[in-house]
Amino acid sequence: MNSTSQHNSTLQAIAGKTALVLWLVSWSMISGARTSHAEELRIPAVDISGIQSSQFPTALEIPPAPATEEAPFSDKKLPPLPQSSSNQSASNYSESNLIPFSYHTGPGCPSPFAGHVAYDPCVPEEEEPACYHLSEGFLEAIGKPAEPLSHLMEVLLHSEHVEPHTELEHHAIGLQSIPDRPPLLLELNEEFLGAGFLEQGVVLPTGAVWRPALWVFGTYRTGTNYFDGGTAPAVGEWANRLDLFAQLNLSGTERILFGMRPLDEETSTSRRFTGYDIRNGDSLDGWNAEPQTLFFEGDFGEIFPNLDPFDTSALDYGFSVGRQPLSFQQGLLINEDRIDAVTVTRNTLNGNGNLNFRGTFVYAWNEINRNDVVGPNRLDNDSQLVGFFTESDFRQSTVNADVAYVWSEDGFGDLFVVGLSAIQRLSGFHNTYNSSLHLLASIPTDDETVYASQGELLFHQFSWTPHHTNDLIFLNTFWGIDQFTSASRGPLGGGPLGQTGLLFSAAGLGRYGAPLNNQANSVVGGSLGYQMFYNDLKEQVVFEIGGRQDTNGADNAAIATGLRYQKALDQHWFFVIDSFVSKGESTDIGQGVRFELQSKF
Amino acid sequence: MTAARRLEIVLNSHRMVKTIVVLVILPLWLCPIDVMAQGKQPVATVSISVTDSHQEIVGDREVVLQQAIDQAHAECFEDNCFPSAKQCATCHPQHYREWSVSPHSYAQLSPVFNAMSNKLNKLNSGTLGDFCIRCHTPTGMALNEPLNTSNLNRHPTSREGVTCITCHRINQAWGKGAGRQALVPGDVHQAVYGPIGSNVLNQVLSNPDKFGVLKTKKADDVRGRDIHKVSHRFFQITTSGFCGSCHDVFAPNGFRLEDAFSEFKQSPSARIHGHNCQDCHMGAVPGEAKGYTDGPAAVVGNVSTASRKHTNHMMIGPDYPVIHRGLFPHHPEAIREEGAVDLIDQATSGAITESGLATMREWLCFDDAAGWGTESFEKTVTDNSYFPHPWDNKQKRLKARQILNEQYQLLAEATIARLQLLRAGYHLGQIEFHRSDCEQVEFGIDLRNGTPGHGVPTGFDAERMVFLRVHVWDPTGRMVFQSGDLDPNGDVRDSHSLYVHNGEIPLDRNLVSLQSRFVTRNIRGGEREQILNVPYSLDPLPYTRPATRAFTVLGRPIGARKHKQNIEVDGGIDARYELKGKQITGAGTYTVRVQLIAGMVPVNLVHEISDVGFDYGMSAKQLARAIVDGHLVVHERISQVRVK
Repeated sequence: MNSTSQHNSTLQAIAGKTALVLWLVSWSMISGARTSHAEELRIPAVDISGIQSSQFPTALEIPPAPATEEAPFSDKKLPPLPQSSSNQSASNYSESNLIPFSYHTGPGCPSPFAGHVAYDPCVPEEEEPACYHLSEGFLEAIGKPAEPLSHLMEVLLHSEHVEPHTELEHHAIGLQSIPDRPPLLLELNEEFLGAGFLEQGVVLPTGAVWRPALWVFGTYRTGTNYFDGGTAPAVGEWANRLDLFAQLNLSGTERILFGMRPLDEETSTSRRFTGYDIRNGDSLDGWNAEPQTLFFEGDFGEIFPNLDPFDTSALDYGFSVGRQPLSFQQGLLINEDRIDAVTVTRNTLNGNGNLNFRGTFVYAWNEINRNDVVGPNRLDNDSQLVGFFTESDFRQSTVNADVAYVWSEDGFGDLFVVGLSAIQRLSGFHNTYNSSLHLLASIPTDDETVYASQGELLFHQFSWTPHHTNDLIFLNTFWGIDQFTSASRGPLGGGPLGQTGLLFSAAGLGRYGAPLNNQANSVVGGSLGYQMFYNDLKEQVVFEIGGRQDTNGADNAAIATGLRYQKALDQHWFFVIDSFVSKGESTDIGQGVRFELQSKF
Repeated sequence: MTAARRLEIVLNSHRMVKTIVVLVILPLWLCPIDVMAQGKQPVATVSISVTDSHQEIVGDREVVLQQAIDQAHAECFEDNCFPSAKQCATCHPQHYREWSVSPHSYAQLSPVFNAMSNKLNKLNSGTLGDFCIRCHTPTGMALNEPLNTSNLNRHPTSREGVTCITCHRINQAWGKGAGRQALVPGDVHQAVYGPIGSNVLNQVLSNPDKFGVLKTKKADDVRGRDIHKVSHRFFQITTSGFCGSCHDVFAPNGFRLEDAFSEFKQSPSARIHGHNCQDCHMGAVPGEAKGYTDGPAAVVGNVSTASRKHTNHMMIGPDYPVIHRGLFPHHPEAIREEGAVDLIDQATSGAITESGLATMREWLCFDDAAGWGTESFEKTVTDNSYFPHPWDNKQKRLKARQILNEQYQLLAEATIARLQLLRAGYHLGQIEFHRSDCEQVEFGIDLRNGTPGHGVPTGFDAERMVFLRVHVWDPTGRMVFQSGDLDPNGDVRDSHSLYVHNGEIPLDRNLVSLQSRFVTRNIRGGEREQILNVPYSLDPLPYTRPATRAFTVLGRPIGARKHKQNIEVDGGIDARYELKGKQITGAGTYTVRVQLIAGMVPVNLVHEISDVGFDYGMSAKQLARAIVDGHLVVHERISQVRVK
């Protein structure tokens, strides 16, 4: 009884403290709000005009601040200006007077602070040219279905559509809980991005300090597919894929990465996924122990810090060597999931308007899959590839300029490919638009083959976000002239047009292929899609329509429409549902549906 | 004591924490049932990560658990394996004063930073872990503190962010490692690592008549000043590479968030002039390599050591504090830790204990804006005036005001230093008129990078606000042109402004902003700008894991990158503006004003991260207002032109 009573009194004390804390927090919120509001008007008795510290000179050039924080400037508040000497030339006003500064002086007193100079809707705006009016009007018309679609799906999914509010929240909500860090499958010696005491490192003879840690992580995908492209027998299957990685982390810049895909085996033209063929009643065996990834990467300057102890020689060359994935021009030029290569990269260079330059040299000697413009891509271990790939940030655009040369003594042909792209945001009068323009060309330097063909590809990705949403509307178009051939594409990489839309790309799990052909042989086409976000970004719906038309008179035009719904289930799992219907000019109606569960760990 | 032994102590203290937690929680497991039975409201469910296993604590168990944590923390604090800067301040008052208002000392206190880290973790399903916060509070992370907790609950040294020991207890050259260096634990007697070595220290230790009794090890029965026993010369602390270990931030997935150090390595400062980061950022003049001042390394027992090169530890940057002035700058007499004895209540003289005037929670209740503690305010106080404890004590209010006055003075110094730094970084030319007739007025102004050391802005340039504010008035004084003005939230009218995003006010098509942009890959449709660099369009479960391809090849992951839009070294922008149509109202003299404005972060970032909540009970609106209030006019040009 006594203990119960004592216990209750303890609880009451705890409850009392809780109430006190809550009261303090609420009071601090109120107090904080008042502080913020009143700081503008208060004139505390603080003056630092007498500062004598050598670090803080007493006289500084401080510009006179606007007299009020509400109105930007009016003619009555203009500083005294010199008389203009002529009607054309301007007289520049000296920047500022030498005024000592006191923190939080009142209105009208010298202050370096700019204040809140608000947008004035009465100020005349730049007039909208007719071309903008027409083009943005066209895009708005394209975007019209987005709103009713999003509301329809909101009702069907019972999920709240993500719509950012314009005004900031006035009320404090306190710290909210966030997800805990999900540990990796294996973490030895140091947790991956985990809090805790960090061990001392091992000092190498070069001067570098390494703290080795082993991390195992990856993704697992499992799904059932029904795919009938209208040209080949339909596929019904259960397929599995496991991407398993082990990283020996040595430092912030050095590591060794080993990766396997034990459930899907690479063949000379494709990959075989472990699972079950539902239509034929056969089990599928893709078990393998091949290393899919095995490379070392690092930074030369970081491995040999004693060569440049004062950091004045810019020895920070990044490099990688071994079996690794490679992708350039967003997968249009090269899209390999494993290739044996050495790369050397120079980063963060600038000058002459180039704000950030990256240049990468690549030499690959093995595991090169050649892009077949009519059939599946084919492995050619006799091919070799060399290339130089750059990315530059300019103020308006990011420009990628890439060249590569691939050669083979096995009859696949020698090919020179170039790619140039500009990625930018375009400011309209009604919205801002994302634009990504790629120009690519393939030039055989010897006899033309299906793996080394002459051709050009113009590829444009365009997208924007409708007002009041985080949604995305995309409108991607392409024009393939002759037979553009990528330098290298993996067995699941298909043709270069996969980025056009979901309808142009395969699932990467089993034999669920691309509803629309993604080769770029004498063809024009495009896709229009609407991506909508729900449930705090954890749920998405994508509607898409697409089509392609051959320009070589082959009468192989095709159209398709598709839907994707994907949703996060928890911290590790999400699912994807895809479906499509297609019709080719010379093929039957195609259709397909797939359900995939994916786990990240 | 060997390093291994010290480490063992630290690890044992963690075991102790776990043991205490288990012993305290288990017997009280049923308490909430009683509480519920008595009809009391449960506290909101909060997940507190104390041990490796994640426990969901409901109701008053949370309070009990918190007490257990506090007790465990108290024991760890007693071990004092990571001393507070306050302890260093005893002998290094000048260094402490400079540091106390520095961005380093604000790093962990910033509510914007904490919310951004939490939001990124939320978007990444928790997988970002301590990536952000590891640099902002290396001590807190070494102590295994929760990632998401109020600073009011953190270890005093943890709250200090990048504190003394963050640099001076590093003894290995870690290189570019995004801040994942090992700290050497130990109490204040533990060896420190600095640029010079033990020469001055040895002189002090060998001269007790001059400097008094000094203790280089724990001895409760000896009266004297605690001091580190040795100062090792650590070469790397004098190099740019030491700064680069935190100021080249790239994530394990290859995302290059900040590359100030990499920029520097390619710059004329490094390659031609042979300067290092410290020359400009710890020297006599902020932002310029104009030498160093002189000063004593320490003041021991009111006796200064010999004057020598003094490195300024303010290391000012473009950030500024937006929290209660009682909490920042760090003031040695301001903060009392929770549970510390408050001697002022026992003494009527008004003397303050060494432990500080008030707790952080109490400071948050102090109404600075109302003028508490000022002479004019105190005259208005009557018996009916209400003050929360402890501010019902007039002596405390007066002392608080005294502290706040010192705080404002220090903040003013920091503001001046910030302005100096920014003016060194940005050079603004004169307004040049290229055309001025009744059909069109065209003018331009040149904005150039003033530093040879890196681009401007650098570092956290994707969230750094530097822009031109341009206004033109016609001959009648009516404003006919505006750019660089702010929407009602306090954002410039770029595509990230919520008012522009939602189509409620027009885009500022003339805006010249140096803010770099996070660009994320869309599921299709290329890339788009996002306020945060999480590519959620690709799949609904964004994850941060080590890159599965060599991240050096592209210099970034596939899903996200940064489009730099700063000004490179030796570079500049020729900003051009045109007035035509309705903007030209007639003949006469037009007045043009151009200001270069520098802010901390855009307000849209505050909105983007607001759903995880802000520390200190602050709202998004409060923060936004404070951020805009801190905008500085770095340069200003005014010019006139006559239009016929």
